[in-house]
Amino acid sequence: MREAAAQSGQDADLFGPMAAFLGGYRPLPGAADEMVDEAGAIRGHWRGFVDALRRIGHPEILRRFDATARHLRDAGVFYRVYDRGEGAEHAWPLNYVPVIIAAEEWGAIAAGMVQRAELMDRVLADAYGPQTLVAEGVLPAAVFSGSPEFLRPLVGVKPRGGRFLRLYAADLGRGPDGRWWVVGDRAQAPSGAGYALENRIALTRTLPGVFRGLEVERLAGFFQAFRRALSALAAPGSAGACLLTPGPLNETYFEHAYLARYLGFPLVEGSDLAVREDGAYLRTVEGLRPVDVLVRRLDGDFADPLELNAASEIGAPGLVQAVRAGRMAVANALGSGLVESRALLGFLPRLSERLLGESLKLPNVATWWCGQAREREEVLARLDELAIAPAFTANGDGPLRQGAVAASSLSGAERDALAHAIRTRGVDLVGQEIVRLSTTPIWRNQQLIPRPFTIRVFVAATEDGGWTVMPGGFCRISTDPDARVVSMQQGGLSADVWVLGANGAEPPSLLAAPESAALRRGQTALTSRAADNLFWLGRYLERTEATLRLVRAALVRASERDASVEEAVNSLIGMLRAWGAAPGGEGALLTPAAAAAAALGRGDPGSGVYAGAPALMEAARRSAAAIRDRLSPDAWRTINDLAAGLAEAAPVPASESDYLDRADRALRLLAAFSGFAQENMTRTTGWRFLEIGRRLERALCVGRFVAALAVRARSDAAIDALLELGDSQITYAQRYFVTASRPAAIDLLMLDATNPRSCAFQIYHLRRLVERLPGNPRGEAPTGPLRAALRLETDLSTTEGGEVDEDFVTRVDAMLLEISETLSARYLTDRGRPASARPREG
Amino acid sequence: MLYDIRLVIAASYDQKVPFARHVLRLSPRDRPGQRVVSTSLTIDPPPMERRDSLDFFGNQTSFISIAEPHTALVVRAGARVEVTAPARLEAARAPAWEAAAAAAAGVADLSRASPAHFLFPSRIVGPDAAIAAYAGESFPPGASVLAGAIDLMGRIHADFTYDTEATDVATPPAVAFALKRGVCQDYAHVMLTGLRALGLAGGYVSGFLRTTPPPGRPRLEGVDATHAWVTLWCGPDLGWVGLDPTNAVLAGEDHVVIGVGRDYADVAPLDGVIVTNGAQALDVAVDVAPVGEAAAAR
Repeated sequence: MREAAAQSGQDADLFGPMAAFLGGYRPLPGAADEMVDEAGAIRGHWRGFVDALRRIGHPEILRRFDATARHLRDAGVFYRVYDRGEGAEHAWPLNYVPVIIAAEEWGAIAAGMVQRAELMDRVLADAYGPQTLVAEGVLPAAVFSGSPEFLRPLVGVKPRGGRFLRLYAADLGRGPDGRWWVVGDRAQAPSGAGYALENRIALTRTLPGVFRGLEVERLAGFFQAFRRALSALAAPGSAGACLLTPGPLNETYFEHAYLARYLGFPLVEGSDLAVREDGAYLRTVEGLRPVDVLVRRLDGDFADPLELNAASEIGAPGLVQAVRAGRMAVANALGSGLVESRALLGFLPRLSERLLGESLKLPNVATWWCGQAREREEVLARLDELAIAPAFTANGDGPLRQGAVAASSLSGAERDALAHAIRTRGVDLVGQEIVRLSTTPIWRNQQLIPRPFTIRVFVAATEDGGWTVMPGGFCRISTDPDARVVSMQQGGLSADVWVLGANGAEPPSLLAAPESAALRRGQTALTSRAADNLFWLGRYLERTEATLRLVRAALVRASERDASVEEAVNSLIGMLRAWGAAPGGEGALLTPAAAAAAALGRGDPGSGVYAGAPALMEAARRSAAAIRDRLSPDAWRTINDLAAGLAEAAPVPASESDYLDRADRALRLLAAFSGFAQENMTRTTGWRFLEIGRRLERALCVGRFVAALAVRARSDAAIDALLELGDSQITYAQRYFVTASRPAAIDLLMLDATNPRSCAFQIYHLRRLVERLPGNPRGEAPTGPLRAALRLETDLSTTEGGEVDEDFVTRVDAMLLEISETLSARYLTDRGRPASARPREG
Repeated sequence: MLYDIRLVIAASYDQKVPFARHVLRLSPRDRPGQRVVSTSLTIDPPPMERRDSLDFFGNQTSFISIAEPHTALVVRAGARVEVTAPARLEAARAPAWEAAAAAAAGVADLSRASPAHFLFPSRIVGPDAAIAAYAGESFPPGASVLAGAIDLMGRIHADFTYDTEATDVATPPAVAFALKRGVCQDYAHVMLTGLRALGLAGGYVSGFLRTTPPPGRPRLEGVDATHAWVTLWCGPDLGWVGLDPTNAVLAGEDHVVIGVGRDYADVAPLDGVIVTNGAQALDVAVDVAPVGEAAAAR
């Protein structure tokens, strides 16, 4: 490297102050590089970018890169890695340097991609239609039948709208000969388009001037075209196009939520869909609403447990029939994954001639399917030069568990086993030419170094029956200099792709920032599942708050030796025990510190603690994760911070003040979330369910506080604790000059509808919120949850402080639970699990 | 032989099931060697929706939805079917197994009976090295595909113990093979795993078996429920041949086919989706009697 820098004086000069991290940049031996040519000179279409970096200068660049990293973290961009238990969320690994592609070169890529999308669409139309390619001997039947994505129930079914593919993608890499090669096809439910958008937003924030100065092609038009074509398929009165996700545990869930928000499509899960007769419906809080267009992000085989994979718990039973009846368009069509098979690659040049009458514009990596004798012999003869890969699935068994593997990299025994597999079950395998990928600069240790990459390029079907190519893409870069297989799951980087505008392109408007704005606003259908999650998010947050307040109230009284204060403290701890935040058990009293340790601890199994603050907050976070498309990034981040803060292990040994700090910090964040919900959320039905959850839980908690501290306990110390829990000391002091009057405290916390912490206040708002839910027409006798809420409100407003006794608080508690239950029954989801026993054959 | 077939599947649920969707595959259809005179299917509670169709493999399939809350589901299927004994097969006349495998991989046919569908891993039958090695012993180089399959069928029958307690409906072939125990479903899945490991096209048959043997012949295993066996593609001339590893016989006059698929998952007699948190139990009763003979007491 040092030698290279010395010999290239011209570049050192060009880099100027950037030489520290650009000067040593040299291509890897045997690989082409995007930024510099063989001699080490910056390529023409990169000069503008490199110049711009030089102008910004060294310390400023680092500051901006840090700001970008912060932005991505704050925006909650993440992906999930499955190999560690449940799948941890990982920070998004964005490379701050984009891959830059000149206009002319991009033009050739785009033409090749459009041709390939059309070809794949026609192959699918044949496989699920007349099957002439097989009948005429162009393709062996096994090339289709071997794919687990050849979904037989869809044979003979024409997709609504005619197209099989609505969004197609291919991974491209540049070989040493300078040509772009297709290394893999994504036809099932291509991921990465949303990440490309997020990368673009992050990078334009980092380098706004550079981006504008270079006239980089914008991405928004592509998404608008994609959206228009899908919306055009939806019938008037339907829920419009919806994005079908496998759910929050999927590795690319962030992208699903992000795209749904960006496109203005409701994000739905299989359990949100119901099929009746031949039509599909969305289960919403307003009842069943027809849905006829689904953009799916789950594998086709999982879409319908009735006709496809019976083990799927994420599909919608009956969906295939809705598709078959022409009532439902699924994009991409169920079964489109068929054309992702590597087995197909070797046949594509012939298929292109046969179906399009054209030669293939973008070459594949040379591939031989071992299901044919001649190809099998060729692969066996050249085994050590080739990579072997599963013919029909991304990953295989043993040495193929990561997909393709270079046979020469295997041990003798593994290699022999692979050769044996090729001989006995060649149909399962392909041999592929090993392509050495070109490299692009990545930012490592304050320096640029070259690393191999691929770009996923996206093509969308347009409304007029054509195709449009996203001018950019999702670039993945390997951190291993010798990598031939690039996968995010193996710890690579991602990068933005900048396609430079063609000469004479319109100068982009300085005001326009279409990538950062959603294309459509307004109230989308609220699914019962989303409402359920919002309701429980509200309840969990409120219960967390009550738990923290109890802990705090107990801790601040820990050093008091007064008997009535000790009794009040035991009442506080008793409440924590009653709802599972502290270990139960007869007799044995807990100290405030022990109760705090339990309520703020992780709740080890067997300890009897299952609802401490960390567990409650984790449940809140899980509910929030399932409705991320409905939460602002700030609100989501606050919830994450809360969950993470509470989940942190306490210092050992922890003092009372450690616990107090912890509780105070969490209470402040909870207040911040309330602020977001109050100030930044539009008053949709979804917001109402969140609020109903909070009001209901707060009413329950306050009622229980009153029961424990003013009905069962009666001391002044208990009243004092009650007022503190209810945040009502100041109001009380202003209103009553005497200290600790029991009826006055009960009135203030239970019955006074003007005190925002009172039970009556919660119930007043609860009733008003429930009233505004769908299905409560004015003038009709109230039913269900509204009736229960009205009864409770009346009860509270006609009761006086002195009448509040054990019976009364018990009745209020029961009526609140009744509201919760009737509300669930009417609006929310059935929380059962799908299952059906199958009879064994004898 | 003309049979009267009666089958009852009774499901019971601990908690009320508010809504259920089921797939029923219980009605035989006309096939080579089999003529269906009549079928019947009754469901209780009566379904809100019912749609009858043929699936990809040509099996009679009923999709039903039950919209009333219920704690029991009873399905009664009946059929009168005439079965003709197949012609005697000369195993020696079948092609070598390698040739049958190559022919299946190269076939230019994607229709329902094409061997191309039965070559690959399916939901239950996947690659398994131990079963592959076991099956390989029955197929020396150049051996007739049918002779090899008959040998394999006989070895499974000899090496396995029929045991209704050892496995359940979801037992994978690898586990049944390790136990060397199971019921017809396990026998069939193990044999299919072995056949496919060699690149041969094998299918799973769900059907009925004559309940009481003709005089002088032993009672067969697998009469208390629907039965399962294997069908193997023996090259373009011989086509599909049924082999019953549970009883070590070629499928014949005692076997009535309901459906053919890649494994049990394609032809499960009853399948579906119900939403419940409670437990469920299933009971199956089958009677297959030649017309005119007294039905077995049940």
